[in-house]
Parts: sequence; C-alpha cells; structure tokens
Amino acid sequence: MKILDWIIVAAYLAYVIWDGIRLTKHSQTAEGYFLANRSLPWWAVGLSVMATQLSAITLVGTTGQAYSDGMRFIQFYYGLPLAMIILCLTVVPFFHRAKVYTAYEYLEKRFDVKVLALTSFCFLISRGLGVGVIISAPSIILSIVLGWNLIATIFAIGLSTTIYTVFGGVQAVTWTDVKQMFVIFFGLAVCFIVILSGFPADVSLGDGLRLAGSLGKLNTVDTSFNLKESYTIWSGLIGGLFLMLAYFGCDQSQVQRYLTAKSVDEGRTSLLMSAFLKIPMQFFVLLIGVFVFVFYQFNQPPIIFNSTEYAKAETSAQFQAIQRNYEIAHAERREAAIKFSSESLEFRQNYIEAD
Amino acid sequence: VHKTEEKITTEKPNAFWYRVYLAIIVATILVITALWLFSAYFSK
Repeated sequence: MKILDWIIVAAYLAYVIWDGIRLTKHSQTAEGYFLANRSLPWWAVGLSVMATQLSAITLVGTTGQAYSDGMRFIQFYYGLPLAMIILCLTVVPFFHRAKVYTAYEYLEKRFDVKVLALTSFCFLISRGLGVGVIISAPSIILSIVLGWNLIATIFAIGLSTTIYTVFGGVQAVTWTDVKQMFVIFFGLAVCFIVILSGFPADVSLGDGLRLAGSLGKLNTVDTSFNLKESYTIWSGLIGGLFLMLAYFGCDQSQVQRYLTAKSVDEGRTSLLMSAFLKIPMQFFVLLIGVFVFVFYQFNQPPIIFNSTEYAKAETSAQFQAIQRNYEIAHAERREAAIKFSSESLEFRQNYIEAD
Repeated sequence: VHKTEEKITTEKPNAFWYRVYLAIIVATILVITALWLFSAYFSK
C-alpha cells in the first residue's frame, strides 16, 4: 500500500469514530442508546439492515463462491421478498406497538425472565461466534496484504467498531452502516471496472459473459427437484423464506434496526427497500466473482495466492516443474478462450452442443 | 400520549400496503424472469 492509501484508510477510520462519538449526545437515555429515540428515517434503517447482512465475508466469500461455482447462490435470496412481506404484516407492527427494547424482551412479558435470559444468552453466543468468523476472515486477507500479525489486524478492525458502538449506541451503528453501504457500492463498482480493464482489448463485456455462460457460471435459475442440489429455485423460495423469517423476525441484530424507525410504516418501508434491493445487489456481487473467473481465463492466476506461502514454495525444484507445466496449460487455455470469444454465435452454439 | 395517538392516525391504511406487497411480488417475479432470460441468453 502507498502512503495515499494509508491516509485514506486512517482518515476514514478516524471519521467513523469521530462521527460515532458525536452521536453520543443523542444516546444518553436508554431509549436513545438502544432505539435512537425511534427517530430514524426508513432509508437509513433499510441501508443499515442491508449493511448488517453484508459483512466482509459476503464480499470475499460470495465472490469466491461465484468464481468456483457460478451464480447459483443467488437463488438463496429468492424467498427474501416474500419473507419481508410476511414480517411487515406480522412482526414489524407487533414489536413496534409492544414498545420493547429487544426482540427477547417480549418473551419476558409473555413468559418470565428465565426465557428472556435463555434466548438472550443463545443470541449472544451465536452472534459472538458469528462475529468472530466475520472479523477473522477479512483479517486473514488484510494481514497478508499489509504484512501484519493476524491478532494485530483483528484488533485494528474490531477496535474502531467497538469504540463507536459503545459510545454512540444504535444511532452511531446505523449511520456508520449508511456510510459503509456507500463505500461498499463504490468499491464494488471500482472492482468491476478494474476487472473489465484486465480483459484483452478484443474481448468485450458481452464476450466475457458468453464465455462465463458457456462454462456454466451464469446459472441463476435451477428448476430441478434434485434434493442433493444445494441451490435451486425451490430451496431458495422455501428454505430461504424460512431462514429469512427467522433471521429478520427473531435475530436481535436485525429486529433492533427496524425498532429504531420513526413509525410502523417507516419500519415496513425499510424492510421492503432491503427486499427490493437485495437480489440485484447480490447479483452484482456474484457477477464480480464470475468476472474474476473470466479474468483468469486470460491472465494467469498464481498457483498459490498467498504470497508468503508462495515465497516458501518457489525455491523447490518440484514446485518449479509444476509451475512450468502450469504456465503451458494456462497459455493453451488463454488461446482457447480468446478463440472462443472471437468466433461467431453459430460456432459457439455448435461448440457448446458438441461439448 | 397525544404524540403516540398522532403517530397511529398518520399510518397508511392497510389497502395501501396490500398494493405495495403485490407490487413487490410482481417485481420479484419479473426480476427472477429477467435473471433466467439473462442466463439463457448468455449460455447459448
């Protein structure tokens, strides 16, 4: 990383922490800290809902999944709009009118404090484990990129988040999520342009899509009833529906978001906004993974992506022999990919049918 | 109390929301169809 990169990262982190602390003046009461005084607009809540689902794992893991497995994963989200409608009809007005601080507080009112303690404990354990993975996965990548110790990287990521969350409460979290979403959208657009610019001059966006499609990477709808298939339209509509109902209806990390909305209407609108944007956004994230795959049809990927591990292996004679064979195989693959991209539609169809 | 009553009375009627839900369902069907057409077109 160059000095300018470091300045941008440091300035952004400093701004996020400063803005979070600035919001503490609105968070001095319990209602202000946990519910933002029920004052947030629907678009901020909606973006926060989306940002809460969109962790670093989504950006790294989902693009990686598209690279290796194509766009099948998008079907997982087909049940989301239906789940959001059911939640808008049931849970959103229910929680809002119950005037609770958390999803589990209602259970105390309905049953007793033991049920509240049990559900809260289960949530904190599962969320703690989840956040552990969410922070450690990008830390592994960042520690390699920056050459930092892994533990130090985890602290660097976790500390800034902890500071603004502890001081600013849900209001700071929500407004930081809004900023993060804009940064993420911008970052995705930049990634897309950078990948496209890495294609050979005579290979267009359409050629790249045709190449990906012919290699089975653009399968967005699978109507088969194969139970061994993880992602089909049916698993998305049925399994995805119930998973999303549980996540958005019972998980405090999500319920807390729409409890901060100004009214039931604003809470509903925020969830529907998320439902409306999630599939196109996920499509775009997966498309980047597919384009990384296409990119590496024309550009040789390293045998080992981890530069530290690569440096350890490259001196061995066995590795060098493998490297030579790999380079020859990739050159042939590149030639075939360029030839396929430059041929007519009829040739491509005949080729795919013959294959 | 007055503020709470005011909030409840300014909520949009159910009929409005039913139309919104219908629009979301139609939009979802259109999006899935568009994705299916996209896959079919570029997989030829």
